[in-house]
Amino acid sequence: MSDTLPQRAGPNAPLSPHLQVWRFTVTMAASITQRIFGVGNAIGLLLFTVWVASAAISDAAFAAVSGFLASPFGLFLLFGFTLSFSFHMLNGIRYLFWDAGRGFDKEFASTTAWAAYVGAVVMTGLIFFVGFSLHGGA
Amino acid sequence: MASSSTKHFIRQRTTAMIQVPLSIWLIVSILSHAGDTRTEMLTFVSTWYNAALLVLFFLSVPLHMSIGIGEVIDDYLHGKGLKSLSHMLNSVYALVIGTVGIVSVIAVTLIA
Repeated sequence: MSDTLPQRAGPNAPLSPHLQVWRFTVTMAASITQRIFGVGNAIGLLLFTVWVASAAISDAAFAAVSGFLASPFGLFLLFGFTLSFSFHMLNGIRYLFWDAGRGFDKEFASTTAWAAYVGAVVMTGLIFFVGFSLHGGA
Repeated sequence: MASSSTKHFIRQRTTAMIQVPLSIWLIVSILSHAGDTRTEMLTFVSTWYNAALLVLFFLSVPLHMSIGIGEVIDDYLHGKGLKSLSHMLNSVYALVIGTVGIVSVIAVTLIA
């Protein structure tokens, strides 16, 4: 009898299901990407904060940080940060609608997940296109 | 009183809603000022409403960031010591970013 009763969760209780047990869906991919890019944004935020701080410190500090950001490696980091930020914001808007009880329909949720990916690429391209057009490249 | 999970849930959505328009403003501002000299940047940052929005950014984003990374830590790190150390570093990182950001904005308004 006692072995049919629910067991109290012990140290060896199963953890919440992890990535490998799910069939791939785009909504799931978007959820994983949201977390990875959220962490990416935390790293990118360091670049932005250092840049703002350098402006407060001195001409030399500002020139050094601006120069680094305009270098090929700096632009590569900014590109990654822009892509990461764009996706996180667009997909985050999906979640805000979900929290308001909208956009849960299975087909629609998949469509908007794809739209977040495509939108992030378009938004990143647009930001870099405008940046380079206005300022003639690095 | 709401549980800490509920508090995190509400704060994460509130900061998200603040950050959508705030980030768009920031991207537009950065794009229209990219390549500026330091003097031009100091002028921009020290304008009171730009300074206010940047301070809001450096308050809201570290909160959003620490809640989000805290969730990732809870879900994927399982060693007790590793977990609490990660939570501590997560808080420290958010506090450092917020403090440096806000102090920098204030410093710029004082020197510009």
